[in-house]
Amino acid sequence: MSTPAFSQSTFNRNLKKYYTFYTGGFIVFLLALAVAEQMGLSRAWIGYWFLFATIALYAGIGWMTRTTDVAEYYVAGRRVPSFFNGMATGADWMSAASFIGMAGTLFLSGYDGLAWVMGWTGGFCLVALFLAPYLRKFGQFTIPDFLAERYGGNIVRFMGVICAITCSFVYVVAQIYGVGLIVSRMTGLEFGVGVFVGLAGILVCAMLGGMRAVTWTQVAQYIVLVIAYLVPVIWLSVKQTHVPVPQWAVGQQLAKILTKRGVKVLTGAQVQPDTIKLANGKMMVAVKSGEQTQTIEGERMLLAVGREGITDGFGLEKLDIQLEKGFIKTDEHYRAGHPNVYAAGDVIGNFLLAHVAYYEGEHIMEHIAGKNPKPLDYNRVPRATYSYPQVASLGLSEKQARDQGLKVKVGKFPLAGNAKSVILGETEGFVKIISDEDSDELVGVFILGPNATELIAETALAKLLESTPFEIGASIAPHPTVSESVKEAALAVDGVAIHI
Amino acid sequence: MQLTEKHHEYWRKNLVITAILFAIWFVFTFVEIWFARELNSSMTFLGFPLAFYFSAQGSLAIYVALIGIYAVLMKKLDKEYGVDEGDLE
Repeated sequence: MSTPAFSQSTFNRNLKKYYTFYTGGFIVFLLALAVAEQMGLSRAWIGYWFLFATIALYAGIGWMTRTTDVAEYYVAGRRVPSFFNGMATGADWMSAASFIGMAGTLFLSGYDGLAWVMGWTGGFCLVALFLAPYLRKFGQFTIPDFLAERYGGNIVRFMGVICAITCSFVYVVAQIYGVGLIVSRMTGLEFGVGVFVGLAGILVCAMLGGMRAVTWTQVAQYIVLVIAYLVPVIWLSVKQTHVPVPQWAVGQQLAKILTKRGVKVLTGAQVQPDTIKLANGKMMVAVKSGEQTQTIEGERMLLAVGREGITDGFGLEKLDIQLEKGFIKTDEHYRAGHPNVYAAGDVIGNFLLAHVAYYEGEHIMEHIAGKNPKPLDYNRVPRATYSYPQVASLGLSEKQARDQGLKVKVGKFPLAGNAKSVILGETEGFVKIISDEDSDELVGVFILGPNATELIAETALAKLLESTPFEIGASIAPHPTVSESVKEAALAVDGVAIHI
Repeated sequence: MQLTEKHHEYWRKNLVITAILFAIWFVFTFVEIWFARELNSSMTFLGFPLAFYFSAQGSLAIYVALIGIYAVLMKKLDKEYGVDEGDLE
């Protein structure tokens, strides 16, 4: 970058000049790639160009800052201006290990992972308060050197070396993994090859120029990172709020999120069709529930008015096929009153569900093939609602069972007692199992919570195999899974659940 | 080098500054996390549960402020006691 003959102020001026050019160059590079992409440059080639430019940049800075001077090599000659040092440190804060790690940790452990974000950010405070000023004042190059100088002796130095290597190793492994991941994503190279390609540039750079090269590449990285972070944030913000600075519109966005969470349910309400209005991009509709009429406002209105089977227009009436409330009347093998006509799915009523239609279809095929299939007991059909949280059920509800005069036992297990639900952070929900008091037969299941629509399948199997709650409770569910709560609910039927 | 009374005074002030900033750091790092459950359920900031807000943004902003404050205070102290090493800017 410059030779020691330059004065500090010339050095600083040059530094600013170099990095202004660099920033301009980077933006031009990006725009050029954007234009090339529009003109049909493939993604793989964009990746190669990015990779090539990055490695060239690292190697270039390494070459320009190559040095054999110890002070230059270890501490960049102690003349990195504080602002640039701040940029280099900032780039460290936003490094691959921290950035990818943060995304991964938050994904894995939810907001508990924020403790990790605080750890690595708070660590900079400790460095600033307890390490950096003293290293600088002691004129030492590395922490082990500092420890040896301050406390005397090689034992302290050795311990310092061990600590430094241990810490760096963990960090560097994550960094290298990140490098390999990014290179392989961008170029389609294999992960292992990606690691070496990515490291090549960095190695040339660090070997030739030491801390000097590392600091200057970090500053270069900082500029890339800041642009890379700001562009999507501004883009998203403009798309969402029409304001480029997200902080200015935080209230607006927050209000949106909060209203999204609060779902208001009005039952037995009647929509007044002639009151539907569209004004200023907002939908308005009046809803009458009982004596009260209220106006509801929103961005969009979705209508879901139920389904019915289409039975008109086939000439069914000519074939002596009977309809009942708009549905085709069939026998237990889905024969529709005419020897050669079967009916399945929504047109015959029962449950208007895809999986019921599949089953009925299969039943019909088997019946046609003369396999004498067993009529379906609709009490073993699972029903799923893909809402949030999910709802799934099977058989009779507790109320339906009691209304039919059945004497039932009920086991209920709240998801707050289930480890996986706690991990997922979705503990609002429960599993309820209803069984016959005399025969222990499974009468109904109701599940509310994460994966409810998946969990109901195992109870459908239990119902088919005529399992009792005792058997469901005696089965073994893997830990930690939400499926453990099904077993617990079955145990709860006889009051022997373990985790409540 | 023989340490003078002035050097000791400088060091004492350095320690006080460091201790106060470290105490603030400790409160917004460990105390906040330790009582996260209670703070989250009882208080909100900008509509977010308090401890969540601090972990996601508040504490990080405080860290940056702490480093800034430390740099300014120490610069002043260095100048006052004549141990300033000059600026590179």
